[in-house]
Amino acid sequence: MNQQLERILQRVTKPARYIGGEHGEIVKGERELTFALCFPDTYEVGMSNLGIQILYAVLNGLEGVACERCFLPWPDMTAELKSAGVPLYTLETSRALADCEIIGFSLAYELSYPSMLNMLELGGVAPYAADRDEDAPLVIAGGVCTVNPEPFSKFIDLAVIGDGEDVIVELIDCYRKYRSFGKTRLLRELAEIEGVYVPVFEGNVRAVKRRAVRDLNTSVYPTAPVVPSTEVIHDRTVQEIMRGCPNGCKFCQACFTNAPVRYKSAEVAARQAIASLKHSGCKEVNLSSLSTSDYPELGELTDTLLDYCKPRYINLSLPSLRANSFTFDLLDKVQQTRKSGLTFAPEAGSQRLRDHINKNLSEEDILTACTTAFAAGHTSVKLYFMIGLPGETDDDLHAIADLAHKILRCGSKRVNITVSASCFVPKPRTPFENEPQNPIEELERKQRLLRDILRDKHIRFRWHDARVSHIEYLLAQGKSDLAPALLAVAQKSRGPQAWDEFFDFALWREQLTVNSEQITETGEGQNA
Amino acid sequence: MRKCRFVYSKTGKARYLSHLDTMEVFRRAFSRAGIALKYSEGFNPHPIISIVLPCPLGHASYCELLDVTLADDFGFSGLCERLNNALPSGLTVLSANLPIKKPGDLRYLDIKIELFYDGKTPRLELLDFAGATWSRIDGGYELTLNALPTKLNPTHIAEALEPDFWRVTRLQTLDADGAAYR
Repeated sequence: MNQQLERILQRVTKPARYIGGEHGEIVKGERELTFALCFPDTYEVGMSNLGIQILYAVLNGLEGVACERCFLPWPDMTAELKSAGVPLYTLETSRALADCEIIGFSLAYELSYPSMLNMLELGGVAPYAADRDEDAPLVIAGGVCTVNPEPFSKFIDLAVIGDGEDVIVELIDCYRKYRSFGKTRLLRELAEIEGVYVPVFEGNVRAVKRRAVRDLNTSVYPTAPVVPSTEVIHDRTVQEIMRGCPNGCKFCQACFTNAPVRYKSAEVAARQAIASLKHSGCKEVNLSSLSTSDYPELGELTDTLLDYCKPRYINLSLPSLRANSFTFDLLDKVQQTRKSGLTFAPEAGSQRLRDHINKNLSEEDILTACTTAFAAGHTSVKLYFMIGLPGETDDDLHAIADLAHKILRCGSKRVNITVSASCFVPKPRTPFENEPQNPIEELERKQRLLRDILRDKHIRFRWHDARVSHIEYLLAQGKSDLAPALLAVAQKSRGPQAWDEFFDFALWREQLTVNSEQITETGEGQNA
Repeated sequence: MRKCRFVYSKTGKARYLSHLDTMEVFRRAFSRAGIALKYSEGFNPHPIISIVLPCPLGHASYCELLDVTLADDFGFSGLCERLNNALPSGLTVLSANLPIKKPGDLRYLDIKIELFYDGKTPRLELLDFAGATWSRIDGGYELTLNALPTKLNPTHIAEALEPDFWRVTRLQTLDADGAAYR
């Protein structure tokens, strides 16, 4: 490490996130090309992302390719790098982004688009693709947000639509073959790969066939992941067990962009999970899927894993479970001593609205589940709802409060309920993509109404900032004319917009008003 | 069951690991190395690991002390090698022994402070204080402080000398009599 960097690290908060050197890190000496795998949020968030770990394993599995990680520095580190004139670098070998052959961003959240531009600029790379010369790195993007790449299309050379693990290998092959033919030819060849969208050719992204890995049992899985040496959002081993979701709730983007549903066999999942645990030394393994209850071999898998985990004090966590009796037997097995909180996602308060959004959950299911849970010793339940759903009336909001009060009465002892309400965001490629979003004022009125009717010392009400959801909506549905606004927000904001403390609605409103016609003075969307 | 005290070095990138991070890194490393530790009882069992006098964030050390209770009667030989294969860059276990002294008996430290000045000459008379020796190194000065009381923070000493950049390294742990603390 050079002294210039040492001087910087001595002054910044949590320097451990800028050094690499973790167990499982791969540093390649001989290399033909360096792929900077970037995540436009902090180390702590990015290192908890399964996609990053999968691509890291796939790319470093290729001979001659060095895949190195790069995350968004916290504002104090950003300022230090700028004032010292040190370009943003990869963790493995401190290589400036500008010196890498390919820069790949994983985009998972709309509000992180400006952070991608901050990283490019800090790394010495011109944010606009048109401003980059022949020798500049190829900038590519993948992740769930590429279902609508238009808002950031002017900054990237290409987007990968769908699962990345196969297409990235084809992309590297093609890059090696055609890199010496100049960027235009290279992009033309890359555009031939299924799942690749090259904005400069002005095609229709909807015509690009989304890629989906066929068999999760044989695709590369990171059983020797990088293990952070500092605390990250999720300190645990993640074991993917299925991709896609059979439920088809009409607002859910993950369901429609991860189709078809694919299962990993319990045998493969158990083998991979145990290998990852042995490698990482983590004390928790999380079975990852969009709907764990729909995994056909859940009983067998948990039995095998518990045999391994119990004597080693390793926790098994099962997210996204449906409220039914099988679940409770399972939870009883999994949680021997600690009764952790339970979480349900009814999404809507009334049966009518739940049916309308295709959420297959009845009030009876919820109440039975809560009664069973409270009888078994649980004392708190968290409920997730969405407000502003298409067709929602105030009656549906009252139904949320009614449901919460009914649940309170399910327990013989005192129980606590958290009601959490997010705001509906119509996302592209979902059945609700053309539905309007409630204006900010309307969402805020609904939040106030809920707060008033949920007044009870055993109910805690939490809600999402409607202004954030509104910006999410504009970005999710946006077109390429958003580019100047995104860059201006990146340059003028004080920090990452995905973080509440830095979210600057006034700045977004100002830039979106100046740079496009998508927002009005009152902050209402065009479709609202 | 057997108590064990490891001496380890924390240098290079590992200097930037906080105390809590370091404890967790070791817990995982024991797990990876297949060295079973005794767990606490209760609702949330966790292995009993303690660092005798953790060095401040950013400081390097060649004499950090980690106490654990091994679940089995392992021999100490081979433990270091197994652990070192499981530790991240910058953390290296140097020895494993039965703890001899109590944590409270650790009183003094031998410390090295490297000082760098950008184009200005330090007030060298400041470097000449009791128990200290100094020498020129590439681009700066190196100050060695013997038997510095553990209550004094070397950061304050380094900063009092107004360098543009400094490094602190722990060299040796000492007991009340100035003998090596083990």
